[in-house]
Formats: sequence, structure tokens, C-alpha cells
Amino acid sequence: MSTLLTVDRIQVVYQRSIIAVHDVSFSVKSGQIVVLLGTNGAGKTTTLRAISGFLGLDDARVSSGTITFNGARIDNLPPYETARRGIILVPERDKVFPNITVTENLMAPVAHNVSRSERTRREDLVYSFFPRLAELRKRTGGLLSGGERQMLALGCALVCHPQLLLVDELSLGLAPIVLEGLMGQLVKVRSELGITIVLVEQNAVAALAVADYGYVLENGHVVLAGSAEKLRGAGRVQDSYLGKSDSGERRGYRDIKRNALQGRFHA
Amino acid sequence: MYDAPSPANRYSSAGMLQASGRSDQRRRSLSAALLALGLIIFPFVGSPFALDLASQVFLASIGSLSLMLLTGFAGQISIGHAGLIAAGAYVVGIMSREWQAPFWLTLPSAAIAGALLGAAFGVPSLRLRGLYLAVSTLALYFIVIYAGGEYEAWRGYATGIMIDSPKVAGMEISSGFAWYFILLAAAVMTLVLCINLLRSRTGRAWGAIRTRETVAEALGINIAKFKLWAFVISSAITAVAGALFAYDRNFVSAEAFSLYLSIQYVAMIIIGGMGSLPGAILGATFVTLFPYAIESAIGMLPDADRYVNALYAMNYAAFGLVTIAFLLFEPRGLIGIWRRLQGHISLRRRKAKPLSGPPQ
Amino acid sequence: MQLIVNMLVLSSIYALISCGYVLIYRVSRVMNLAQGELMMLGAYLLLTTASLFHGNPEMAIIAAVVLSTTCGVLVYVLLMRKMTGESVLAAVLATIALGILLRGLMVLIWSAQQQYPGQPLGLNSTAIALPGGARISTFAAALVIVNALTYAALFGFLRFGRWGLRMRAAGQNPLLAAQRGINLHAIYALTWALSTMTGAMAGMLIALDSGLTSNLAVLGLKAFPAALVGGLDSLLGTLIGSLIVAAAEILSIQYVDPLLSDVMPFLVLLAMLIVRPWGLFGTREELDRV
Repeated sequence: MSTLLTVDRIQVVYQRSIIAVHDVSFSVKSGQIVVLLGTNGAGKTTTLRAISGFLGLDDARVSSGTITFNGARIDNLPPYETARRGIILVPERDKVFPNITVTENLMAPVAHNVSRSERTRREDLVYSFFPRLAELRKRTGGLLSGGERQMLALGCALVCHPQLLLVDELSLGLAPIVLEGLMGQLVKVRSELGITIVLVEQNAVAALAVADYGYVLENGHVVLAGSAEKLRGAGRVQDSYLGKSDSGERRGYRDIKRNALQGRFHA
Repeated sequence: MYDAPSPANRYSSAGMLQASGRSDQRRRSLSAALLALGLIIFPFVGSPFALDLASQVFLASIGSLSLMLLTGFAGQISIGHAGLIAAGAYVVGIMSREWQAPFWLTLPSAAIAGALLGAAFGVPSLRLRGLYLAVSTLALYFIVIYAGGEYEAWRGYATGIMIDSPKVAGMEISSGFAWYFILLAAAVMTLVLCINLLRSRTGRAWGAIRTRETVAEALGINIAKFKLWAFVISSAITAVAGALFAYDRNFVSAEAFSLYLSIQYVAMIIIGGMGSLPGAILGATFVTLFPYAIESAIGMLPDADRYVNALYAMNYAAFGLVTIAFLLFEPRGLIGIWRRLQGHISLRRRKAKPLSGPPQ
Repeated sequence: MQLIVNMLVLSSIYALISCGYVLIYRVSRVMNLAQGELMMLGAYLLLTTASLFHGNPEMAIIAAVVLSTTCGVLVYVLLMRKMTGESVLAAVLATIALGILLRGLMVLIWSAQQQYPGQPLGLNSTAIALPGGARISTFAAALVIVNALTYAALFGFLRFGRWGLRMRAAGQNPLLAAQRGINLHAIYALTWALSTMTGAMAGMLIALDSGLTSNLAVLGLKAFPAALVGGLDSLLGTLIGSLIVAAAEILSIQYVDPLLSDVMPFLVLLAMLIVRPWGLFGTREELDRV
């Protein structure tokens, strides 16, 4: 398995004054499912956006470090450049086009040099992964429910034939059972289409259930890295994100934060 | 791109108003005194033409300061500025021709008319923002000009209303000399008024509304009141400028208040530098003097006579080009250039530190 | 009857000019206040091509259309592309300043006199008699027809065409479109090309009908309320908005006061802004009170 994506010590600065990501490094091998964990403000979304070139409109840029994809540097490229190279982001908000139908949503991203038969094939592929969408062909994007919208967003991403799929906060606003279904589909996407996936998630349980490897971010740094099993068992992750302590009792956010500030932490 | 004034930033208007150290204060007072001296001596040494130019700059500054208050500080876009100038001028025209009213009646009346009209211009701002607000001010401008045109037609003024110069103690004030000082005084008073306004609660509310209206409202600032207030005050000042304009030219006609005039004022505040009072004055100076600069530049060309007919069109084209150039390359305006130069020259130890390390 | 004919012609003029406003606003959220001057540019270019292709109207018109469209693309590439992401006021002022620059240049190149592009081409405006005693000139009739065809073509293109779909998507969420591999620059350039082309056609037909002065651009500004009344991002709305504004204008000239003609569109505009700022068919944007 070759390395597909390497993020090397990047620093992301907003509006020339706020450093959102201090020093993040990780790499993703082809065919893996990697998850970035962390609480709000840890810098996970920013990292994802840095990879996909979404930073520009927020007046942010990667101010140091490099991002390499398939051997070529991609930091600070515009979004459609990274999209053309095969990196597609499913963003946290505004993930579908609200005033066009589901079919049109799926057709819009397809490049113009793709033949009609190939377009239809890709559309059918999406419907095979998400049968619900086939029933909603004529519905406009804005009228879909949260779960349907998420499916459509993933479908639009698939239609672009990406090598690397970045998904930002898949779990937001989804009922647990819907989330479970979608996560399962992501695993299928990886195994059947060979697409590498990087997830950003706050829901550590759901994410670690499908991931191969994970990184925990805090305040713009990577504080913990390891395989999914290792992370699931790591006390720190248990503490901060699952609220469990060694003795099995649940702890509140305040206790965890206090200990985090005071204690060192060990992987 | 146009940052909100913030106390921490030395380059903000608030920062400029707060002296940072006694040497700073002394230096600033010294330059102010020198400037004042220069302005007072100037009429005695300058040619009548230069005097007239300076007077025009002062008059333009009043209008650009008021627009800067409205758009640069309170964040309300208006491209109908010429309509308010026209309103002030028409008040003078109507009152002095219909009722022979003296200037100490017409000027305050112009201000009141401006305030009322400003309230009308301001009402759309309660519902609209950005482009739509700009368009509503455009519509209101056309309506004002139409009303003026109707009045002229109704009263039979085919080419415009002629106005006598204002009289004080029986003496007519019409010399270039006198007008220089009158307009200089008016401009200075406007500047002082603006500075005081910006320091007050009103000014702070405007800053909040301009940067984050939602947050401002959440903090309990009465958005509607302050928005309307911005329009009312700005329009009153502008109408007074229009009144002075009428007295200066002894003439009022709808053609003098074209849309081009409105655009010139908007260009003044952008070229000068948004959110900066000195910028308003710099912008007014630049835009007022610009046509004369173009004229002399053309005069230096070999076959100058040929171009005389095309002068107006050349001015037009050059103005458009320069405005675009500023928008593309120097969005912070002349003030931005000035501050960059200051940054290079100055050896001050206290520099602004926008990057103060990672936030905790 | 003549009144109705006049209303139809005027509304076609406004509609053909305004579809440029709508296209650009819908796809890139920019108000192109230089549309009037770009329209006028088309007419002046026809003047030049007319003397080049003496007596050959088809070539002259085609050449003028091609030239104008190229100018539209140049405007995007050289100016508007660099203004993306700037503040609202800056973008508006940029188009206004562009209009001023263009107007100055046009007067410099072609002079401010009244010109007649139809003459070198041997095209004359004749009147056609219509039922009910009304008359319409050939070019005015051409205007109505061209307008209808243009709108039909645009509707079809946006609804069914691949690039039309991309344009609509880009208009709804540019960032998402970019990330889905849609080349925004190409989309915007295409939009400016279409907008300038339709405006230029309007300008040419008007100039052929009633002559060309440097004041033609004023029509562009008067057409703007039509777009706004209908909804700045709705083609159908603009069509209807043009009818409303034209009707108001013609009727007020006839029955109230001829001087109202220039200000009537703006009265209608103001009324619309008070009642329903996003127009009859426009999408309700972040205009709502905070």
C-alpha cells in the first residue's frame, strides 16, 4: 500500500493573525480509512479544508509546511484544482445545491469530457449505494432531510470519481441508526471502489468503528496517533471523548478538562 | 478588507485619535499648527485660480466627510449623494427667489430639509443591505432630481435658478477671498463635528453595526435608530454643503447634480481610504484636482488644441480608469499608501503587532 | 392599440437589456452596472463594422456581435475576475467606474454626435401597419422577436444544457461548485459573454431603429428596475418585470406627465423595494431583517 497523502508540519493562519493549526503531520496510505478526532476548535476541519483547497474564501492559508498528494504538492491550490486531481471534500455545511434536483445535483459535477454512457453509469452507481436517492430523483436539494442530504453529498462526491474522499463531520444532525448505515456505506465505497477516505469526526465511537487508523487533534496539534484499536483502548481517548474513566464510571466534561490541564498525557 | 476600528490597532481611526505617548502628541500638534498656518497664509500668496481650487476642495470635503460617516463608518452604502446636495441647493434657490430669505434662514432650512430627506433615504436601510440598499438610494436620487426638474419647469426657469450672493450687514459676500475662508471654516467645523460624533456612543454603535450587525443587535444596540441617525446626520451635512454650493455658484440647476457627481463622492471615500476621516479629505482633494491635472497633462501634449473638444470625455475616461486602478491595486486608498510610507520611514519602537501569538 | 404596441416594444427593450443583469447576478452575485455602456458599445461597434462591410448587413451585425462578446469576456478577465471576494461596495463601484471609463472611451473614439449605423448598410426603418391603426417600425418588431427568441434560448440553455446546469449550480453555491470540479472562471466568463451579447443585440437594434447618441447608456440604467422588480435572479421575473415597468412608464407619459418617463421605472423600483425587495420571482436572500 503506497502513501497517497502526506501532511507535513502544516500551519494554517486565518486572516494573517489567528493560527488555527500549529503543527499537524500525518500520512494516509492508499485504500485506508483514516479518522481525525478532536473537540470543537481542535483544527480538524481546518486541516481538511487545507487539503482540499477550501481555505481561500475564509482568508486563510497554509503558512508553513507542505501537503503532498500522489507525489505532488497541493498546498494552497484553488478548490477546483484539487478536485481535478482527485480529492473531493464533503463539507460540513452547504453540502448540496439547494435549488436544483437530485439528478441535477449529481450531474453538475461531472466533467465535460465524460461521455453520456459513462455519466449514466456513475449515476447508477450512486443509486446502487444509496437506493433512497433513486426515489428522490426529482426532489430539489433543499427539500431533503438531513440524512438524505448527506447521502446526496456523498453521491455527488462519488460521481467525480475521486481517489481521496474527505468527509467533514458526517454525524452532525444524523440519527444514530442512519449514521451507522452511512458509515457502513463508506466502508463499502472503500472496498468496492478502492477510494481512500479521511474522516473528521466528533463522534469517536462511530468513527473508530470503521477506521483503520486515527489521529487525535487538540488545539491545532496532533496529540495522539495510532491504529483504531489502540485508540479505542487509549485511556486518554476514553476520558476526553467517551467520558469513561478506568473505574468505568462516567465523568463530566469539567473533570476531564481540569485533569487535562493539570496532567501530562500518555498514549 | 475594510477593518473595523479597534483600539488595539494603531492604524485604526480610534487608534489615531488616541495619542500614544507625549512625543506623539507634541508632533501631531506641531504639524496641525503648521497646517493651520499654511492654510491661513495661502490666500495672501496664492493666485485667484489656486484660491478657487482650494475652495472647491473644502466644499468637496464637506460632502465627502458626510459620506464617509455614512458609508465608511456606519456601513450604509449610498450612491444617491448628489440628490442630497441638490436638495440643499434647491432649498436655497427656492427660498431666496420666492421669499428673499437671507442666508441665516436658508442654511438651517437646508440642514433641516437634508435631515428629513435623509430620513427618507434611510428608511430602506432598515430592511435592505448592500446592493439593494445602494439601488434604493439610486432610486431616491432620481426622484429628487425629477422633483427639482419639475419645479424649474413649473416656475419657468429654463436654464436654472439664479441666486444672489449672501449678504452680511448689507455687504455682499462674493469675493474669492471671502469664500475661501467661509468654506475653510465650514470644512473645519464639519471635521470637528465628525470627530466628536465618532468618539461618542453613536460613533461606536455605528462601528458595531458596520462590522457585525447581528452581534450589535444582540448586544442591545438599537440598529434602526442608529442607522436612521447616520442617514439623517450625514444628509443634513450634505444638504448644507449643497446650500453653500448654490451660494458659491450663484446658480442652481438639475444638470449640475448628475449621477456622475454621486459617483465622484463615492470615489472620494474609496480613493481616500474607507473608514478614515483624513482619507475623506485626501479623497476629496484628489478627485477635485484630478480634472485640472488631466487638463494640464493634455496641454503638455504636442498637438494640444486638437484635444480640447474631447476634454470632457478624456476626464470621464481617466476618472473611470483611475478609480478602477485604486480598486484593484490600492483598496485601502491614499491613506493606505500614506500609512505604508509612514511604516517605512518611522523608527518608532511601538509597532502594531497583529500577530500576537496563538490565542488561548 | 398603439399604446399596447409601444408597451410591447419598450418592454422588449428593457427585457433584452435586463437579461444581462439577471444572468450575471444569478451566477456570480454581481450587479453589473456597466450593462448600459456595454450595450452602447455594441451599437458603436456596429457603426464601425457597418462602414467596413458596406452594404452587407449580415456580416456587419455578426461581426459586431462577436466583437462585443469578446469585449464582455475581456471585461471579466481583466477586471471582474480580480474583484471576486471584495466588498459589495467595491464590486459595485468597479462596474460603475468601468461604465464611466467605457463611456469616455466611446465618445473619444466615435464622438458624441448622433450617428446612424443603418445608413451604410442600406437598412432603413419603415413602418408596418398593424390592426387597430397602430404602427410599428421594422426594427422595433425585430426587437420584439429577437427578445422572445433570446429568452426562449436562455430558458432552454439553463434548464437543459450541461453548461447551463453548471451555471445554475455555481450561482447557488460557488464554493461547493469549485470543489466539485466546476471551473468557476470559465463559468463567469461565459456568463459575461452571454450577457454582453444580449445587451449588444439590444443596443444595435435600438440604434438601427432610432439612431445612436452617446446617451444610449441611460436606457441601461432605466432597464435595471425591470430586473429588480422581477427578481434579480429570475429570467421569467425579468420578463414580467419589464412588462410592468414599461406599462407604467408608457401609461404615465400618456395620462399624467411626459416628464415622468425617466423617473417612472425608479418609482416602481422603490415601491417594489418597500414591499418585496427580492422581486416577484427572485429567491429570498439574506435581505431579511437581522
